[in-house]
Formats: sequence, structure tokens, C-alpha cells
Amino acid sequence: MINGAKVIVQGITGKQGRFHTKAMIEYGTNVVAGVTPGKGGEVVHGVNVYNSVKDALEEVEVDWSILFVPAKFAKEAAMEALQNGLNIVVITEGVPVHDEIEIVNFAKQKGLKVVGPNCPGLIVPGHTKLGIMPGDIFRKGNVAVVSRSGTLTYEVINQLTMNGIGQSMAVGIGGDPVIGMDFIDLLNYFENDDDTDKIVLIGEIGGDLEEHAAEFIAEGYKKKIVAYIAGVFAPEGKRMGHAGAIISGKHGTAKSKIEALEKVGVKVAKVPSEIVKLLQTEG
Amino acid sequence: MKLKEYQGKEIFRKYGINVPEGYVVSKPEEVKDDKAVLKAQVLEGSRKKKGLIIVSDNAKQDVEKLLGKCSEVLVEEMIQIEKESYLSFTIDRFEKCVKMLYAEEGGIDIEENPDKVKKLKVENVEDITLQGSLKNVATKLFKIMKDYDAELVEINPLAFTKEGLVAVDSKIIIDDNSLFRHLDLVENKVCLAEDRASMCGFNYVELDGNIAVIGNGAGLVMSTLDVINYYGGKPADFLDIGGGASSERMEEAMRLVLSRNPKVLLINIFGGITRCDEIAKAIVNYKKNNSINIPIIVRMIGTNQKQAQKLLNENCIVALESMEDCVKAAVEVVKND
Repeated sequence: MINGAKVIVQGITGKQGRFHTKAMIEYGTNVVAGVTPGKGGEVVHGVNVYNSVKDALEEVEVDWSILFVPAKFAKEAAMEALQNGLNIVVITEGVPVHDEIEIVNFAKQKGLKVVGPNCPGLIVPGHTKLGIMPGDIFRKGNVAVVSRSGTLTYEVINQLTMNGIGQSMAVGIGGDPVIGMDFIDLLNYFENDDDTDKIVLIGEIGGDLEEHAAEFIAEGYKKKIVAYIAGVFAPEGKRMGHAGAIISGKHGTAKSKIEALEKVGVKVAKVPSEIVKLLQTEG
Repeated sequence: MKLKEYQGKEIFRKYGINVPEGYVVSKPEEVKDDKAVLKAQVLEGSRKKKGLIIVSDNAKQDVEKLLGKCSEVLVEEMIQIEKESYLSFTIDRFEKCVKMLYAEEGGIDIEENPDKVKKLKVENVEDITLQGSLKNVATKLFKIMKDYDAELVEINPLAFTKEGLVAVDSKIIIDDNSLFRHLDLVENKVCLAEDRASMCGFNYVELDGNIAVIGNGAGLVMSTLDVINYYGGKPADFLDIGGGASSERMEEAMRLVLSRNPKVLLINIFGGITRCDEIAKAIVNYKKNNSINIPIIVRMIGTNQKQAQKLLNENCIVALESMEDCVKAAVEVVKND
């Protein structure tokens, strides 16, 4: 999906944009341009900066854009990238939900991919990093990881790597109520991905993406999935950090998600360290 | 951010949705009528079942019952209801759109009859397929949903009366991420500890256990709480310092959770954007300047881990690498207490 991708960074001149552009280039990502309105002509870590996506596209070919744009301007920047035919990764935290709906539906119309918002991005270990995750905890391998969380993903990846389990790809889909690619989109992708043998799905309280994923798995999923759900002991009605992580009434509890997944044959780890054991057991 | 009933009704009125005549009081002598419906302005649900709504013939006296439980009471005229219905707009996360929910029969038990609720995807007003005055109210409500960046706008019950449709109650939840577009609403906000925390840039929820928890990232902190429970402990809070926290923010977080007198403090940091040395600096500083008489258990891994560990070691604070080992240690402290 992102191997060999030509990437631009929107919001490249900000603190986060600069830092992660450097980290992505060091990891091997092909960053071909940066965009910040009003900063055209600058150079950041050897990358030329343009005033707009359109300006950049006149000079270079691009497949993906990664956004480090403040929440207030995220919609405008995302729409600009989509308008110009780019897939996008939105790292930005705090994007209003009605803006997210517009972004995601516009991308769908155009047949483009959106990862996030409020996500760590995606990585193909040893190849390409389109995100903010610490690259050195990943190892190349055959387990794909898909997660709604950031640092919890690092936690799980670290345990996999320390136990000799490498990863084919890791995607943080984001912790907001409305996001672009979701569990089903990625399970679909991993099922047909030759580099992926097994999948780790990391969910959390709030919403019903995990329950819908379980329905999808029930239709006959071909690869082994191990899951972990955070927030088993989260109180009702309290927003646990992520805008999407809130239990309202009977909806969005960890229990309902765990039951839905177990019912369709997915093994669910009780603590993060158990994920390794469940991946190693047969069946 | 949830709005109180009367705040929601002010918005309804502004958009031309009929609401009962009424006014807000904070003292009994401000009540002008004898016959009235008295409604406690609290954010919790099921007010009728909890006795927070009184249909009164003696409002001037009855209001005292409610003012003992909350600071504001909405005093409203009684209206003759012929039929109650339900109308709301909400976000459908899975379908990634706004949905309208309508039920011909409304009332407080609407959640128990999900089959009676019709759901409809609404991208613009043309999608609202209701008829007549219902369509009119729904169109206005949809405008409020969009204009105020709401996650939910709900009228339950929406009453049919001789004078037409009346919104007897209001529930509006504004998307917190959009508050920069609605600063006028924020100024009215009640300042709770949890809100103060969010203004400092972290996410904080008070819980009733004795193991204080600070971590970075919502998922990791939620998982930490689960692992504590799994090993038989009880967390005192959920505190996510957010991404890229400075040492000042970390010290502020420590001050907040320690003010509630926990038995042990567990710090769980997986540095990505967050730099471990910044966090270590905060822990050392805080310990120097404040007397802490409970154990602090630190798990620190990731960006600038080595510098952090050196700093902690020099100040006699041990940092472990495994989250589960840390949790077990914290639970052990509490057990021995």
C-alpha cells in the first residue's frame, strides 16, 4: 500500500512536521516535497517546501500526503490533498467530527484512502514509515498490526519484537469517532497481502468498529487474528482520552467487543503480554 | 461538552423551534408562579425517575427541594400534550455520517424500544423525508447540529399540542474538538477538576482506587488500568499526559494525582513523541521540591530512555522496562499496606 510511495508532508515547517520529516527520511521513506502556505521556497532537511499541494505537484509526482497541520486548518489541508488525487495520513489530534465526516466522504467519492485523523500513521518495517512511531522498535516479519491507539500499539509492537515476532505492517487507524480506513478495510487488505500470515487487532472502548469487524470476520476470514481490547475497567460516560473512547449506556463496552470477537473464533488477550502467547499457539 | 437544558432551549428558540415559556432561578424568591414545572438543571439523565423534575402547584416552596440538589432550576409553564414523539440527530461512526432518528412515540423509555426508531442518513436538508411541521422542526434541528458542531441534538419528548410542536426537553452535546469555533459557549463552562486538567493539555478521569496512574497515550493508560485490575489492584485515576509532554506538564500531572492521597504512584511512559528524559526531569524535580511519602514506580521506555534512566538512577528512583512488572509491584505495595 505504501511501499515505494512518493510522499509529501503538509505542515512540514512546524515543530512536529520538521522532526518527523527527518525521522521518516532516515527510516527510508521517499519524501519528495513539503507544503506550508506562505513558506514556499524554504528547504527542510533537504526537502523543498511549496505554498500549496498544487504547486508541489507541478514539480514532483506524489502518491501520499502526511498531515501535521493544526486541527483548525486540517480540513482545508486534507481537502486540498484529496482534490489533487492524493491518499492522506492525518496525524493531527483534535479535528472536529463534522470536518472528519466531510473529509472521509469526499475521499470515498474520489476513491482515495484516508488514515486517521488522530493516529500514529502506518509503517512497513524495514521499508517505509508514514507516521510518527519510533521506527527502531519494529522488525520485519509476517504479523500485521492494526490499532485504534498510538502508544498502546508501540507497547504491543515492542513485545512482539522482543519475542522474535516481526511485523509485515502496522497501522494506527486513529482514536476519533469518525476515521478513514477502519478495521474492516485493513482486514480486507491483510487477507490478500502475501507478506502477512497473522493479524493483531487492537481495539478499545467506544463505538462499534470492533463489533462490525467481528461480523466481517464471521463471513469466513482466511487468516488467524489475535485481538486485545483496552478499557475493560473504564467507567461509563467518561471520555478516556480519545474522543472516541467513551462508553454510553450499553454501547461501546469492552465486554461487548470481546464477546463479539470471541464468538467468531478470535482469541482475545487479557493483558498485552498474552498477545505473544496467543500468536504462538496453534489454531 | 454537554449543554444544560435551558442552554439548549435558548438555541432552539433562536432557530424558531417552539419551547415552553420559562425562566431560570437560583434562589427560591425568584420564582414568580405557583403552578409550574420545576426542572433541575443538571447534566445527568433520567431526571424524572430521580425526582429532579417536579410538576408543582406550589412552585415557590417546591423549588427549595431542587435548589438543595443543584444551583439552577428551570421554571416552566405547564403545557397540554396530546402526543409525545422523539427526534434527534447523531453521528453514525460506522457509516461515517449524520443520522436522523425519529420515533412516533417518544418518552423516557425510548432507549428500550429501538425497533420503533426510524434511522435515516442525512447529508443535507433534502434528505429529511418527514412531512409538514415535523419536517420543519427536523430541518431546524439539523441546522443546529451542523452550526454548533454537535455530536448529538435531541428533543425527547417532542410534544404535539394544540399550538403545534413543542420541544419539552433539550439535549445538546457539542464536539469538544470543535470548541475553538464556539468560544462563546466555553466561557459559561463550569470549572471542574477534570476540565482544568483538559485545559492543561491532559486527559483526566477520577476513579475510586488507591493506585495513582500517569501515562502517555489514551490506549496505553486504559490498558494500564486494565492490567492493574487484572492483578487485583484498583486505580485511583486515568491520567494521559498527551503527546510530547513537557516536564512542567508532567509536574502538574503529578501534583493533580498526588493531591488525592493515593497509596502508590505508577508512571507508565512509552516515549515516541514524548521524550523520556523530560518526564524523568519532572519526576526528579517534583520529588526534590515536595515531600512524597508514597512509593513511586516508574516504567520508562522509548525516546531518550538512556538519559532518563541515568537521571532517575542518580536520584535513587528505579525505572523498570516492563509495564506488567511495574503493575505487579504497585499492587504489591497496596496489598502490604
